Amino acid sequence: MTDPTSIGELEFVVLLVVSSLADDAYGAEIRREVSARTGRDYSTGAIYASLQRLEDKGFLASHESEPLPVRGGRARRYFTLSTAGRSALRRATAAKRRFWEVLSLAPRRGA
Amino acid sequence: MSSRAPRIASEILRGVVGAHPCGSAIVGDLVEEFARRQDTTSGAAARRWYWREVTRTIVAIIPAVRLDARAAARALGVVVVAYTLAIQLSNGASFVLDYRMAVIIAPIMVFGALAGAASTRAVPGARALGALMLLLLAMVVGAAHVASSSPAEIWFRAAKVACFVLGIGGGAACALAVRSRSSEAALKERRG
Repeated sequence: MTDPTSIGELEFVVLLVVSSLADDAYGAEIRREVSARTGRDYSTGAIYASLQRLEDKGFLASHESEPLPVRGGRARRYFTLSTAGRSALRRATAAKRRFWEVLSLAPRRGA
Repeated sequence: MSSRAPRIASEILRGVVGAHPCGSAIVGDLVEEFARRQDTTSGAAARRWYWREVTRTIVAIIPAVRLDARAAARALGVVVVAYTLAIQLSNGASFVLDYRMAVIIAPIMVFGALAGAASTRAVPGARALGALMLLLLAMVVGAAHVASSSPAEIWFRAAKVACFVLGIGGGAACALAVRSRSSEAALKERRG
């Protein structure tokens, strides 16, 4: 069974980007940043699917801006990291670090 | 000079992501990015990007769309009833017209189009979703129908299925376009 507090690779990157963008973390900006940092062209739908999963897990909170003319009168949805999200990010970072430590201690092939 | 995002693509996108909690924000993001790209690239490149992004977004967002049990049952009911009625009426017309391909195409497409238009009412707030469900159903059942036919009539059946699917797509597109115009007119009236 999947751990409801675990996060996938894209979710990890999205959390990092939301954290770094601070007050400017809305869908289009998050997509641009994630694509620029990973070198992969993620679709808006893929980013929102991740954002929704993270919000359902309680790692993100969101609020809407005022409607903007440049968006055809639609509002932006801004995302912020919750306390649980910060903890999840720290746990995921620590797990990755431990993994790299194990790899660096493992004897190299042919050595 | 800036122009609006492609209308049909926008309407299809709205019709699918309407059932997602962030539906309006997703459409807004794409419209905003389209405007940005129009300023930095050509209008044609921005339009190409928009169509591609709408397609990719729909593919990515459909698994994340959640309907409650009642809405899902309603959607499934409308789609299955529309499909069954269209198939039965098409078969009846084929029987009356003595299964001659040249004349049975019209009723197949007409009943397909009516089913396509009806399917846009399957999911309130996400009108294209019902049409996509009906298209999927028609393609899956149609493929099984063609696969089970004898070599002599395989092309006849394939042509009938293709006409039916085209009819569904056309009917749904017309219904979405009509809905788009009426909602735009209502918006103008509110503004004016």
